[in-house]
Amino acid sequence: MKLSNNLPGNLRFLFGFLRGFTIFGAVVVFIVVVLIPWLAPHNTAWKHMDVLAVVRLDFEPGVYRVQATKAAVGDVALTEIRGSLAVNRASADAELAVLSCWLFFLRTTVELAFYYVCLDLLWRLCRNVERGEIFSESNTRYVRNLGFAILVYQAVACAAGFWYARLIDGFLQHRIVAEGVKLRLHWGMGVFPLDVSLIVTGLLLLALGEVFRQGLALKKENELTV
Amino acid sequence: MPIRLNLDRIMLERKMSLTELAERVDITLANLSILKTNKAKAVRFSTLEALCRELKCQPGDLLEFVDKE
Repeated sequence: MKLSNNLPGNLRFLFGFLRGFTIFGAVVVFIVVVLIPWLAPHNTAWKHMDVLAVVRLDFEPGVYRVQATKAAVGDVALTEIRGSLAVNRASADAELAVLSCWLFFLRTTVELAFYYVCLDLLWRLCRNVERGEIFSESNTRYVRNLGFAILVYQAVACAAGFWYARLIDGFLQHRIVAEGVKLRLHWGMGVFPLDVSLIVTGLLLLALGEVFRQGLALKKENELTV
Repeated sequence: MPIRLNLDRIMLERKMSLTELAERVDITLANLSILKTNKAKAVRFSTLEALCRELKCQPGDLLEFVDKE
């Protein structure tokens, strides 16, 4: 059955374009991270500040006081301050520069790979729909793989976030100089965000894959009914 | 499938070709071939009725249960 409107065709074009854009992005990342520092180490175009993580400073009680006219002592308290930790990717401190480059490389690689896989699966799905193949083996596989890709991405992002947070935390503990302040890295934000709605979408797609599988079984049965 | 269709045997007895039966029953040659080769998973009552009418037989003559064990 051919669909009368051209929505699948337009979507296929859009996904194909965005998929090509991710390849372009990968090439740009390769040039920025590998080629420019290698070919022109004194070129400062790529050396910009990179946000490493969001850090939280926890205070001991009484270190800082918030004064309120009618409030009793202890009614209002400053317990923490949050801020972004940004570093120069070409810092003279080699350890810092490596940390920053690692984050940039890791984040862009994981995200580009994830976007490429998702866009490629969506492109294939739209191509099949455009051909009039709705409930087919390949479409069932594509929808299921899309769900798995989202869940795997979130798992990888979570693991990488933990690992990187430990790395930065270890680095910062020896370098922050402050009295009465305890540093804590807020790992979830800024490094690899854990997106609950994306996890729900992944599970929804797995359920949709099962619907496609059942639909395919019904279609096969119907095709062999004479 | 343990249910078999003895279409080829009855067609041979009636000396009727697959093309002729397909025309008389008004189903495609491809679908009749699915029935003949026992690849079908279900048969509509309307198809069974047309087959019985054209082959002058009972549904029991066409269908057979084969116990594989």
